[in-house]
Amino acid sequence: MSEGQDILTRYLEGELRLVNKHIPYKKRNLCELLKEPIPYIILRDGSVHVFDMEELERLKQVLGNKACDLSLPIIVEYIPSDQEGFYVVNGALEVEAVSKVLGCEGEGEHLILYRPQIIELRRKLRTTTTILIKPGGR
Amino acid sequence: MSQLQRIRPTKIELIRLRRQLVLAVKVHKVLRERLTILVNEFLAQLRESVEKRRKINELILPVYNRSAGLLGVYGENVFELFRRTTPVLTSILTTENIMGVSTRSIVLRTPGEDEAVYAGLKDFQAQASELLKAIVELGKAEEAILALGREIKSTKRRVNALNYVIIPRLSQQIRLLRMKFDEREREEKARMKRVKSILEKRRKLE
Repeated sequence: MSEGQDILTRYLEGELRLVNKHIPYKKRNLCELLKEPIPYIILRDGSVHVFDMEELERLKQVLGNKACDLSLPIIVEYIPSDQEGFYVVNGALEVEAVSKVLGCEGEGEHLILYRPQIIELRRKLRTTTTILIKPGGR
Repeated sequence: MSQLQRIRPTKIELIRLRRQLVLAVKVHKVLRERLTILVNEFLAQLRESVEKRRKINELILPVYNRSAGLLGVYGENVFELFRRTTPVLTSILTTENIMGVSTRSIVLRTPGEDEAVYAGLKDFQAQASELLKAIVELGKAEEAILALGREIKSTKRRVNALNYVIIPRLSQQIRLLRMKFDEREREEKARMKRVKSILEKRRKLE
């Protein structure tokens, strides 16, 4: 294998590794975050991400008694091998929170969202949601 | 063409190139989607900043007028006293991450309730703090716009490099190798036919 080709492979693999650098190491509980003066999480690239207090309050209000079971940030998955502009939210509580915020119907463990809904979701829950790109597929 | 000539025409090389092409297509798809998400975030932040700017323009004049009015009513000393004794908004500089783009953000901490001594000052305080919050929000949005703009620019370059340089080059290299293998196969067939005909001729002569 020529050196140039090797560099190209390494570059492409590096791109795939870096594409999810904004995902946190560990999710944090909503109630735990609400108790903190500045709710934050540490991301994979070492940076600090601060949650908006208003968004946390909104999620608590939307979920009611179940709010303390929700872990943040809510991860929205994008799988490139699937249809383009097609996103999935996993987890019953996450599905409930997202569907209530968006005002759409959502039940069960998975909720499929399309690009316009993602724009709306990111507008409403900018700091409490994050998009995970899964290059390896499901 | 020099790039193409450097490749060894072997099956292993073809397999490697095909793997690279698959990887490049996947990275291209991922980066293109990331670019779309970043552009959407950029537009959302832009809309927000326009909205905030409009809000500030609406708030700034009443606050200014009220401050001028209060200054006229109470005089400079009382106004200064009010300024010094009012608990101030504290700000904490933090960071926010939007799709891997780190932007600066500020968390504002509102002070506890203050007993206003003079009429009109409490409303003014509320209005002024609302204005300050709007200014901070605008700053956050504009900072995010700048950071997202930089990231969009670099991602776009990478997407274009993959789309117009890397993927076409790999496809061309694969095509060239396939052509070479096909040619080799045809040559082999022709050679076999030639050998066969020579052998047949020899057999006839014997």
